[in-house]
Amino acid sequence: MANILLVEDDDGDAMLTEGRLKEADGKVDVWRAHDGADALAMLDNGDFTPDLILLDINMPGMDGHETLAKLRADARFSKTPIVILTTSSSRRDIKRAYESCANAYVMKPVTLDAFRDTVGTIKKFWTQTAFLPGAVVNG
Amino acid sequence: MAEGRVTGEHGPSDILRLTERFGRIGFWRVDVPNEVVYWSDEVFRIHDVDPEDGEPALADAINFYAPEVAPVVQAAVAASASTGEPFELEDARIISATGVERYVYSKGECRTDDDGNTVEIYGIFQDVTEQVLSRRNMAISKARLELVVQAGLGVWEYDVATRTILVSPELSKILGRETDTPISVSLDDFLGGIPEPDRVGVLKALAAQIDDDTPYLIEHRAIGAGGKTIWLRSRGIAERDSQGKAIRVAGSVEDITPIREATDAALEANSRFNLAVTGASVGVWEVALPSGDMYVSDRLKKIVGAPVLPSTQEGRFVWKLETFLSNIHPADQAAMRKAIDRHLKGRVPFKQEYRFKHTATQQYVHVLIRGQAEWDDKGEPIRMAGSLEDISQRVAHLEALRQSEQRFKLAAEGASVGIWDWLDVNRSEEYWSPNFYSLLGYDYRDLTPSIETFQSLLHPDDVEHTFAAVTAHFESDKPFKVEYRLRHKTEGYRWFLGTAQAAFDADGKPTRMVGSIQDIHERKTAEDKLRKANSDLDQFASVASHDLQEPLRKVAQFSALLERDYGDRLDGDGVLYLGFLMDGAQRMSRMVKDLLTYSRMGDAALNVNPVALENIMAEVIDDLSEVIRESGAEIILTPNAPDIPADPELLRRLLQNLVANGIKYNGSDTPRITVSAVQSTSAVHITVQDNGIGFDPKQADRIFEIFRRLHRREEYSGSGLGLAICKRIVEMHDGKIWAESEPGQGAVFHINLPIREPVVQASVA
Repeated sequence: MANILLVEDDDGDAMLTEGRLKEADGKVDVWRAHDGADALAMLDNGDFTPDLILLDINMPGMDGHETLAKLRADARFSKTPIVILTTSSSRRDIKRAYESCANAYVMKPVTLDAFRDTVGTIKKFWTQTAFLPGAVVNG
Repeated sequence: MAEGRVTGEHGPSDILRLTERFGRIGFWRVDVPNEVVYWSDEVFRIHDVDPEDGEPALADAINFYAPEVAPVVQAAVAASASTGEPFELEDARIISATGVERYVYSKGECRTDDDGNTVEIYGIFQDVTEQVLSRRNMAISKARLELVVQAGLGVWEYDVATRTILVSPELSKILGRETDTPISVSLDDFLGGIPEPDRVGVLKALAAQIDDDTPYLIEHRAIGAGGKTIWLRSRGIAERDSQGKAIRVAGSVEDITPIREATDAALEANSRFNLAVTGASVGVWEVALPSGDMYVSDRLKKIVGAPVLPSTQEGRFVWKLETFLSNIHPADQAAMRKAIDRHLKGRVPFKQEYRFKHTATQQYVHVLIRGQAEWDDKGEPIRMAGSLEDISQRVAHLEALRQSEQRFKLAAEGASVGIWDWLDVNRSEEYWSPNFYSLLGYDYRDLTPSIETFQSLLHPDDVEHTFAAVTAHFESDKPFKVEYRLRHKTEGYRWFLGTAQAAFDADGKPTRMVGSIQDIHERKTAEDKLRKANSDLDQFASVASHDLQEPLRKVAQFSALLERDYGDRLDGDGVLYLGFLMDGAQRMSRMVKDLLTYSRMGDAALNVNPVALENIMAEVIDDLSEVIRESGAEIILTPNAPDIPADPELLRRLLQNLVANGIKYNGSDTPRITVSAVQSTSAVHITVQDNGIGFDPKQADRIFEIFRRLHRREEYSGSGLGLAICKRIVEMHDGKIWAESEPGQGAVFHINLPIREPVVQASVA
């Protein structure tokens, strides 16, 4: 069972993403945080160890960039796969995310089918295929 | 006889021999009855003939002249022999005995016997090769440079075959005719506008450029606005075919009336270095040593004057050497004395240019002094003799040429329109070209050209950075290229691009600065507006598309979920409504994406390189493979397409949009899109032709507008941005795009992309 932390301020979007994750192969536990501060608090609580973090960029309060920087500065999460999942296609956001050591930057597709494929691929790759420290290799 | 004339009044006859050796002027004499020529050593030298070989026959002597000159010389000698008239040859080409090409100046006079028959022609002979060549090179380079700056000057082009002259609007204006388009006039009509005395000269100069490639650089009068006589400086250079035959002559004309009026003396008519003057401007002198008694020729007295002497001494000597030297410009004295000393003691050749104060006018005259001493057995100098040549005109001429050369060179570098010349950066006065005034709406009489005047015209906000740039240029030779506003006489402040280059002395101190101004007002204001509009649009588009994308995605995906999970619980109307909802969301999403693409295109750095059209089309066909397969379209690329000067990525997008358009707006069973390209000297022209539904030609411009649709959405889908994106891509390449069509006749899209770095002087070089 892979633990996936979804950091997303929009309830609708969170619901869509969580739905696609559950539709993808394999079992997942999706933990939802509403913004960066919320995510850090949940991680500090230690209820789970994330195998993958899906991080939105545009969020009120602590945004995705700040959250990413804080996570990478934390020894516990410096090697956790973090995928930016966002609507922003701005080059500045992309550059900044990779500079802060995001593992991938993915733009949310418009159609449901495309979104399902994308989320499925992310989940499969970062929890099953990529041999990264911290990644669980299981179903 | 020549010797008699030159030395008759003043003593030693070997003055002539010395002068000849060191003054570089040869003498010759034709024995008319016997047809024998006597040459002095210098004439032998110029012909590369050994004096030991003896005197040549007249026919042999004439044969040294080049084929185009020999008949002229023959005729001149014959004419002189029969009429007793003097003759003169300028810049005559000879081929020496060793095959060296030289140019000579020769002038002859006749001696007749008591019956009036010419028995002897005698004259002087001078090698002027150096002057001729330097003058020619200068004129050629000048003509070329001038053509580069033709933007601001009057320009003409003479077609040799039709004998017509194409006159630019600027030139028409100079000649008092207001027109916006170039006009074509016959050569005769054109010459008719030139006053009689100069007409023949212009025609001859033009013919000489066409026939012999003789530099066409002439200053002549013309009738300007209001019937006023104006002075023009005209340059031209022929464009030749592979056989060297002139096809046309392109040239430029500058109105130099103000210069002529101001400095007429310095720029004597056509400032052609008059060799006749040189011939007539050499005086000779001899000094007895150690007494210092100095004999001079009459000619020398005319050039620099002579002290008034008691009548008892007349005929003996006119100068004491010390008095003579004291009239040399103080700044040149030390060098002169040193040169004499080095000659007398070290036998270093003596040839120097000095300024000499004329005893009567008290004006300094530029003279070239050459001399040679003779020494006795003990090595003591016993006398010294030489020539004194008046070179003030040549100096003035060269200086004027140098200045104008530099002015045009610097102007050409700046590709300018109005020219200014700050002749001495320690002083305020400047020279402003006629165009400089006219760009500011002034007549040259209205303003005194100076730094102060310039500053008074400069917008107060631009003073600081403009003069800071001057200082930076002076201190570090940092290129001077500044945009500033100058106050136009009637139109308020206008934007100009100022470029300039300073000249520096040996110590690196600026001495002079020459520059140009170019009116960039329209461009500047348009740019400002465009920049603002673009930046507003970009900002809006970027924010809007960004922020719109998110809710849109939610609409699209939740409606898809609704259809998937609850579709079976909706009735017919419900399914229909949901369909509209999903369709609307998808279309809007595409528009937002295209808008984002459109707005972002402005930021990307252009990477313009020649790219193979075949490669780009292969990518386009690959990208559109699905659409092509579904529609059964045929995509044809005309063979032998030239490389396209474009950014490959943008070119791909451009062609992809146009090809997709041609397939989409197409009713035929087999949509056929033909892409072809041809290259001209300055641009590549691409056409994309389809056999589709076409459009009303009245709409030809509107189809490129943003969100403009010509068809109902239900018929043809699309964001309405495809062609707007195409237009933006083409404009980023400084190109043009347009379309032609008739309803039902298909459409042709034309794209014209300029080739970067156009070969500006292709027709000149």
